[in-house]
Amino acid sequence: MVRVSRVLLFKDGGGGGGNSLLKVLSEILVCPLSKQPLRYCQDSRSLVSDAVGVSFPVIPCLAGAEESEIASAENPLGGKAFSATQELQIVNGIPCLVPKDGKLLEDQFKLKVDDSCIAKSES
Amino acid sequence: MARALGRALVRRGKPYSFPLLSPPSSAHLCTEGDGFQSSRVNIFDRDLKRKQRDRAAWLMRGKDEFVDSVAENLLDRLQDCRKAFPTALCLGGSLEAIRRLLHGRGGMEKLIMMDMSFDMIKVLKDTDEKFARNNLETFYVVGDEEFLPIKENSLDLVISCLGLHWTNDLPGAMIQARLALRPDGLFLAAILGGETLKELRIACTIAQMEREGGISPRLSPLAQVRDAGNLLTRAGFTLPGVDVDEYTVKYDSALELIEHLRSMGETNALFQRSNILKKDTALATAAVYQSMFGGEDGTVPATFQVIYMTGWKEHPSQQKAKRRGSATASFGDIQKHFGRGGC
Repeated sequence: MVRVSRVLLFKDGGGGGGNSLLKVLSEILVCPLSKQPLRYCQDSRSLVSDAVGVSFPVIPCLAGAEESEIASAENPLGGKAFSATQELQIVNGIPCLVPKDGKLLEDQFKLKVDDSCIAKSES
Repeated sequence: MARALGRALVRRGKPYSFPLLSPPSSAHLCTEGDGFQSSRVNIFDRDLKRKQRDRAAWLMRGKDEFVDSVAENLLDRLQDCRKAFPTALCLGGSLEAIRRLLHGRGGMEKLIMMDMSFDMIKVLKDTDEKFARNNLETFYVVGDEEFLPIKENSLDLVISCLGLHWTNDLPGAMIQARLALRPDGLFLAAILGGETLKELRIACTIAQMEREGGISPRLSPLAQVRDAGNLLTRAGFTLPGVDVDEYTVKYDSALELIEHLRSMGETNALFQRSNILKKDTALATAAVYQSMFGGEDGTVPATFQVIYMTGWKEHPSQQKAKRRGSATASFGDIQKHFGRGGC
């Protein structure tokens, strides 16, 4: 699983100079608790440590210029631009790797367990 | 006296609460297990420190002579090394001064700025353009020195300016820094030493005794100079070097000193602190400070003792003491040789 995520990271981080965070992430940053590699989760915009099941937020950091970009991107025609701006946010985000900022991923596990329980009871 | 009391009381301190990791779901996390927690003495409230550093981010003035001279002294050491440090990590404390005074020293190509406080990092990131250099990439990360989120063998330099004295587990933080370093990597740190703010310690104690009939720890226990060497050796650094500098900063009044401490994020974050500070005790402290230590010109001096620690991660190229019994010449022969023509 970790290997797959690394491949993804390199794929994501292989482009121009903009995705510096992902590059550094794959080179230097690790989970503060387990010291295992982190995986970037596109959906939740967070860094996930699979070893301990904790996700750390990446807080988007917006400078003035980028904010105006977002405003312009929010019109219905600019769907594509919006996704690009979102990308920019992550790229310039600040990863918060203090253990207290992390969220346990148990909710997701719970959901899965609940689903399987329901499936069992139904059958 | 306040310090001794602080240490005695700490044993009864409440355990570090860690809401993220509730015991049943996180039993596999080795860092904060139940058994571990009981054996661990927590002196500082890291959450509070984080908030204080948030506040410091807003109070920070552009230039602070004391912090600047400490940062300058620390960075000056980089010029003493012939080595370049392409990847560097800058830990908590006065990040801003380090970044401002770096001036391309140390041959850095990649600099990671880490602090506990998001606001501090945000402020630094927003003012990034001013200090941008062509050959220096700067990254900003919010992280805790006690849980260093850095991969092993990935850094050439760890630099910490006035931040590590707030860690509960200083040896642990230093060991993590050593692990993150590549062989022959340099660890540079400046921490506040035990003589720091001795005047304020005395003034607080006297004023509290007088007004409240007892004392509570107002100032944190700090490392002594002799501890610093032991810390470096214990953390496994080679060629350890420790030196001390004392700075005396003059303020117009004791209240201004407190303002300065706030802007540096260096105010009390002890677990055993008293949450109440009565106004008359505070004013009495200022008055005691003024009358006991105030100069003729009306200013009050405050001593800051800064301990500079230097250590290297082990590398075969470094000089070492030879193994015992490996000498090829005897001291008797040397004495015969040199003793003859001698005095």
